[in-house]
Amino acid sequence: MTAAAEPGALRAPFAAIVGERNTITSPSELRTYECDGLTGFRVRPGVVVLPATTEEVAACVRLARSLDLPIVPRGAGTGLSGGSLPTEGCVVIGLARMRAILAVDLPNRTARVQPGVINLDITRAIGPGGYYYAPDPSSQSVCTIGGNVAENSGGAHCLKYGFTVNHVLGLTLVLDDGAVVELGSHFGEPDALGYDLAGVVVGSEGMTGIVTEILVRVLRTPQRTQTLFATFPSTDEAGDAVSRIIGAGIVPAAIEMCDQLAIEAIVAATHVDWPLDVGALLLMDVDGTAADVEETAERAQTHLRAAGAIEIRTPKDEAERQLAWKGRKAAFAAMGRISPNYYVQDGVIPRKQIAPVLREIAALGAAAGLRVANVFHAGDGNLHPLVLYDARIPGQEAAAERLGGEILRVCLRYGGSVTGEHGVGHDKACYLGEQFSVDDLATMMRIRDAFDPERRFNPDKVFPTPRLCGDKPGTYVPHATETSGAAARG
Amino acid sequence: MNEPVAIAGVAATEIVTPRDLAELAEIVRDRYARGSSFAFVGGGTQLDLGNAPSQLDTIVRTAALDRVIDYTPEDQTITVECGITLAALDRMLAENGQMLPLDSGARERATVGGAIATNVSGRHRRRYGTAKDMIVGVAIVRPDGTPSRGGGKVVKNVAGFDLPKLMVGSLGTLGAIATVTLRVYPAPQGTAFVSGAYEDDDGLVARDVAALDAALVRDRLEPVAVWATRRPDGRYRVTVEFAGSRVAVDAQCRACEALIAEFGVSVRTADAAEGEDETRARFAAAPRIRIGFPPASLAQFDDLMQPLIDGETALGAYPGVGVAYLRPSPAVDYRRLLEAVRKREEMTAVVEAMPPDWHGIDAWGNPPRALRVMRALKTSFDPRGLCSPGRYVAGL
Repeated sequence: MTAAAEPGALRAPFAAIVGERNTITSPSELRTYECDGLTGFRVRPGVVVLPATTEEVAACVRLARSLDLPIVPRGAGTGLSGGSLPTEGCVVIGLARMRAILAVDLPNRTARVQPGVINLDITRAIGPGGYYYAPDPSSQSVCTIGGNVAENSGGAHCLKYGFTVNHVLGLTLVLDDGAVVELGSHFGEPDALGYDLAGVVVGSEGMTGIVTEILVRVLRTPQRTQTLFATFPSTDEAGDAVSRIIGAGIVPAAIEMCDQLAIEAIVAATHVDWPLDVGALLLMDVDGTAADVEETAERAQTHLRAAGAIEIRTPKDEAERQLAWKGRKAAFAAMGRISPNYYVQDGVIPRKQIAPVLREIAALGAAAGLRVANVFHAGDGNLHPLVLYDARIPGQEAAAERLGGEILRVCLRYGGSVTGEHGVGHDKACYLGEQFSVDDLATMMRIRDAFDPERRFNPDKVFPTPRLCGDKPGTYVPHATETSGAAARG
Repeated sequence: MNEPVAIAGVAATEIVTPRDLAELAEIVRDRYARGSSFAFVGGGTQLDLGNAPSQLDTIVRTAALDRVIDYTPEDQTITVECGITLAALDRMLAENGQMLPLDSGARERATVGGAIATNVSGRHRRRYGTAKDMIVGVAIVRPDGTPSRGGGKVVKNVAGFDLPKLMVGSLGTLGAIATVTLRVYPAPQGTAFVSGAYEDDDGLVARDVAALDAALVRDRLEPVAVWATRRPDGRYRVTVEFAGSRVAVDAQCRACEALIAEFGVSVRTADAAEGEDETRARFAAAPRIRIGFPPASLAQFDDLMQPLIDGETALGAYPGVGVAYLRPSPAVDYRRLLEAVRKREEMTAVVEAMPPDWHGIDAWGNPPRALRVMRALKTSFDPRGLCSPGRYVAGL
């Protein structure tokens, strides 16, 4: 696919669809769209369009196809894996203007929203009635549902309630030729006929089409939520506490862990009164009916103590509870207090292996001469090692990236995954071939090709290619037409 | 065990039973290369699901593929071969105080692979969801014989396209499910069932059943299941199941009893689900229709049904989930019934068990709205159309 058109020439036809104000071609304005939350990679798009309706999205897609332009969809640009990184000369279709909550149907416990709706805004809209939207990525006050759908985003409370894919009932999708298809449920009815396409589109990282409406499930707020805060001498004891709690059959709504370095950063950046002289802390929510929460919280405390907790606190009121969670959710941003730059990874390990894996990560960090802070979803084994570095020091950024890669390999060695919720994107495409075989990736590519045979949507993501991964691709996935001899790759 | 010889009434010319996963792949590769059509059969409990295959040379039975590959109770995950029965899995999980809350009426015969391929579910989906919410990894054999994997062994994982979700409910049309990794759950300490309108002369109209369901949600009770069975007079009896610690279950039962009593019907709480076996037996044989409707629409669904069914028709509904199972009596005009439901865009009607004399009925109904992508997927996985052809929606 080539993008031969000059940026100037792209303006008029797209502006005819979305309007002058919503067509961006000036180099200074395009800079905003050069990257997402993975700021180390930047590519200038050919044009950025901000459509307001499904019809406008479809028209933009048809136009892009007629001009043979790659299409990169974008939500709020908070992604951490480079999923919205533009492809040279592409059209970025930004969904930020499509931010309407179209319908709320509390009896059927659904909401129909546009992709640009901010995650937390759903809960803000229905919270007063006693309902909420469960998936809660730490960026939930700024990230969009469309982006969550692309990445199958998780969050602290996904431990009990599942990820975005478990809360999306239906989707409206614009395909590569501008056709609009409806996937899954429309009215909240279960068991839509045929393949679970909505289940496949969620987490497909913008490579199957552009989602323009989402029917989400909303949940009734539980009778009670009890938060527990426990400190430990080191991550060994904290990891052991997690294993004990999960092993005992307790399903908390969330269990989050912070190590000493993460605590230091969070305390410096927020007003939490967490102790600095501990090795790790766990922040945990237990929710459900009142009687259930009381009993479960008590059992959990027994396990925390048995694992060697130094101190266990329960917030005295809702404000204190919110503050603790605010501290946790501000963790990534807080890293600025202790390091000029950081590089976050998102590997997953079996949850009983937390302690040994954290020890290996610490050893790798020491060997690389870099500090690694850990703040993560301990309950489901989803690590977030934050490799701290200073980009002004020559070689440190590259060393941080290398260390990040080594950490992912440790996760794979323990039988885990390179990403639990941030997505593969651009960042981890070259590691996917270490998690999956050539045949596995070829099968996934068949799924993609069923939606987008020309591979126009978000090219150069997820799948390792020689161009992305240099001389050692290992797992280049040919197009079905190539394997059949119908086409050759130039 | 009876040897299955036919799928939806179509007999195969051969039945093969691979001894291991390598042989499964080898058989599929060989038949595909030869242009011979094939389909997979687990416990054979749902052979009447779907339309008749348009071709069927070989039935591949998964009965011998019943090994446990990896079970780590501390991680609450288990990886098994497709042919293991749900009952065998239950027994192993129970030893560790765990369970797989995937309901199926025939656990001694039904296999894990079959349960996922057919996306079976039952009353516990209210709390635990369906196979989609439990599957975290899969290894398949593509129709061309190529083994491939998706997902993984950890409970949280977004690496690569979601092949596991795609296989759920795909009815063997995209290849064989060879192994699956499932998230399993702690078994509750206790269970109790609150029944309403259990007396023979008692009953709740559908609107009241829906109102009760709404009240359970309003009061933030957390039943693991709610179901209502229709009596010959058109009214319903209702059962609400709670699970968890003794004290938590008791508290919820008291609250639920009070809610039911407000409707002026009989209420009692028991340790076992009353009439469960009887209900299951009524729905075991063909014809069986599964109807889907928005979870809060039981009353609207009932309004639609009342003029179309009679007192001999068995009907069990799951308010709050939006599923009902129907066994129409011989007197019912099933064609009219299916048409009436399929006209409603917010409802679906699938004939889960088709009697041999229901000629010209499509098991699935109207083609799905995204049929175009489904066709492309089928072609992408099975370009020669040899893998369970014709059995799935819209002839896929």
